[in-house]
Amino acid sequence: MQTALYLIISIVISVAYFQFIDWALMDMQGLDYFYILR
Amino acid sequence: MGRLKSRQAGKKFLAVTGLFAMGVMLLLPIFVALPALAGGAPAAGGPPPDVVAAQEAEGVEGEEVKVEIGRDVYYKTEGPAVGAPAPKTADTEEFYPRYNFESRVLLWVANQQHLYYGSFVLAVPIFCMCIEFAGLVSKDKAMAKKYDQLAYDFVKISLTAYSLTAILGGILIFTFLTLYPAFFGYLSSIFRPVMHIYALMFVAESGTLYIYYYGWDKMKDGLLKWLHCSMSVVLNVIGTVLMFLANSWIGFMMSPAGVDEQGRYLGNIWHVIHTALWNPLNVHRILGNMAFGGGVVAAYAAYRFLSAKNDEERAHFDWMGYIAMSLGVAFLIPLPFAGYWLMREVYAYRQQMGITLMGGLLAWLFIIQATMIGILFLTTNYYLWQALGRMTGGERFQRYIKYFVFILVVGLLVFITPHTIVMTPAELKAMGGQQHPVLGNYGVMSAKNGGINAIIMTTIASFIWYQRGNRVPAVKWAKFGNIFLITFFVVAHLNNIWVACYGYFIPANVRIGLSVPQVAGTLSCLFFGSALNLAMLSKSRELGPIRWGQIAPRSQYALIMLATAFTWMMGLMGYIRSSVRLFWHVNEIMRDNSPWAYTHTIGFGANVISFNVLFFWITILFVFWLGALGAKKAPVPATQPVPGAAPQPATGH
Repeated sequence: MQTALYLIISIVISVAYFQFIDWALMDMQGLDYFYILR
Repeated sequence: MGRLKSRQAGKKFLAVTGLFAMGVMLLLPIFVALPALAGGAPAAGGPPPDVVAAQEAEGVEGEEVKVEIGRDVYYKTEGPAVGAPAPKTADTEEFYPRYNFESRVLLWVANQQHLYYGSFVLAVPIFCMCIEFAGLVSKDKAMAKKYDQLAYDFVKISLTAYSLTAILGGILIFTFLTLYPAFFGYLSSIFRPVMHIYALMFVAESGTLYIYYYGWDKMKDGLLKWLHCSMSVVLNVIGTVLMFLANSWIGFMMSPAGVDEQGRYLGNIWHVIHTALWNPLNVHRILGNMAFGGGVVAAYAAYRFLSAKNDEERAHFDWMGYIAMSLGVAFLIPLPFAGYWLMREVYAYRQQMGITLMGGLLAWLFIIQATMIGILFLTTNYYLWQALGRMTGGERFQRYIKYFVFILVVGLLVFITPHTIVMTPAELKAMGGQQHPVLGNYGVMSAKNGGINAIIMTTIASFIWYQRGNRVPAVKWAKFGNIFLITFFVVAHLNNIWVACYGYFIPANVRIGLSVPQVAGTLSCLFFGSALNLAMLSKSRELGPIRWGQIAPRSQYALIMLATAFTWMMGLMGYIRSSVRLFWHVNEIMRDNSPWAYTHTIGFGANVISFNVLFFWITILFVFWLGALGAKKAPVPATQPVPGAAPQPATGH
């Protein structure tokens, strides 16, 4: 149970972190990370 | 007693004065540059003072002095055309005196050898500075002594190499003057003040290096030791500035600025130095030199390890090889990113130049380069896995190595897949265009970036294994830490693959921006992964000591291979960078009208590069042999303990 909880927390933080830097670093270059959705 | 005290006070005063003088020396260029930066002073360069005085005298008499105004080819500013235009050469003995041999190859060899040694003597004192500093701040006395001895060994090797560098520099300049007089005359007319400053910096570097080396024993205590260590900082600042100045010449040849379209100098020396590619070249070269220097020193240690006669020597050289390899790889990891930046700037400067490099005439050389980069990273990982064998507890990781090999090989295969193939018109027609309808999707930069980032992240994970080799984290949150660290790396890999795939579905101008988050993901693994791992090991249980010297000899051959592959790659990349100018001495300014203005075949180029590598290694083996010869004359007492604690691999930069 504890392992599953730790795993879920880790996955949420890691995915959020990487998606955030993907978006932020594209935005800093004036580019749209979500280009394909528009 | 009183005399002793006053002598110590005198020493202290001397050391403080010395430190102060060094600080002033380092800040001096900034103060000298201040008036120029403020725009108050006239720019450096221009006609000699006597000519200026004569012109002014004429002006007083009421005659207008006619100075033509030229327009800068890069900065687009206007300035007085004070220099002579670039000479228009012809294929004659006057412009290109020659032997019955290709002048270009002679110059190529002279240049490459000078560069190999130059980069070696730039890198080794920087390592020396790091290691001496590590010894200075180390609390463990035995360890501090080991570090100090290691730094001394390093500088001893570089001293012989330093004089060889100067000799090769002399050979290079004579080769330029005798075989390419018109070109060198033009280049030196533009860089006149820069070349003189270069020569003076060289004198300063020699002086500092000799005091640094011969003063080692005299300055081993207290403040004097700090003075000695700060001397290495001065030495390295001078060395780095020397390299930056030399880079300005090749930067000017590739992407000229500060001259008009006839090549006339416009009086602003900073424009000539600070061309479009100067800073990318500076960053890429300093990182490359460091990785190269680390590789060469590691190969030296491997050579001494393999020829060692007893366990104590083996332990020392195993440790030395590990330190040198760690330092080299610490600079190898950011190197592809600096190279990527350099290529981006090349494309921004002249798109055609970038296409010639990566999608045209020289594209296959880049495939060879990618293969060599893959070899470097695979060899690094192999060495680290072998090095786990010298630790108790290292065997825990053995069963996972095969998965790492899988990721590395897949990443490498993606990274070395070619995209543009040289074809005959018939082949073009049969395929229906330049790109194959299916295979044309392979080998694009989006996928290759994913490949190399996967390789680098796996290498970082190997380093983290090595940090853990003989230790088990004992912090309270170790379980969460482990789960988080593994998850972070897995998500980093998945994100890398996702970004690589996403690049296929969006236009090129958006895709090129994706390389930045990809790099940031890899660097996050490096900084965050290492920091988290070290935090977890801050309280840890040791499973056993590191048995320095008890490592399979094949690991040492891996170090030698690492160094050789790096040497070959440096030769290859220098050739690529040079030949991208095609038939220009100075791109679009001064044409190369010698009979050797064509581009060589890949096979011929590779043979010359191999010759250069062999020549360098034969001569550097001679330098190593000299270093070992000196050591035999003065045997070091074999009472120093073998270090018990593992130094951490450098993970910064």
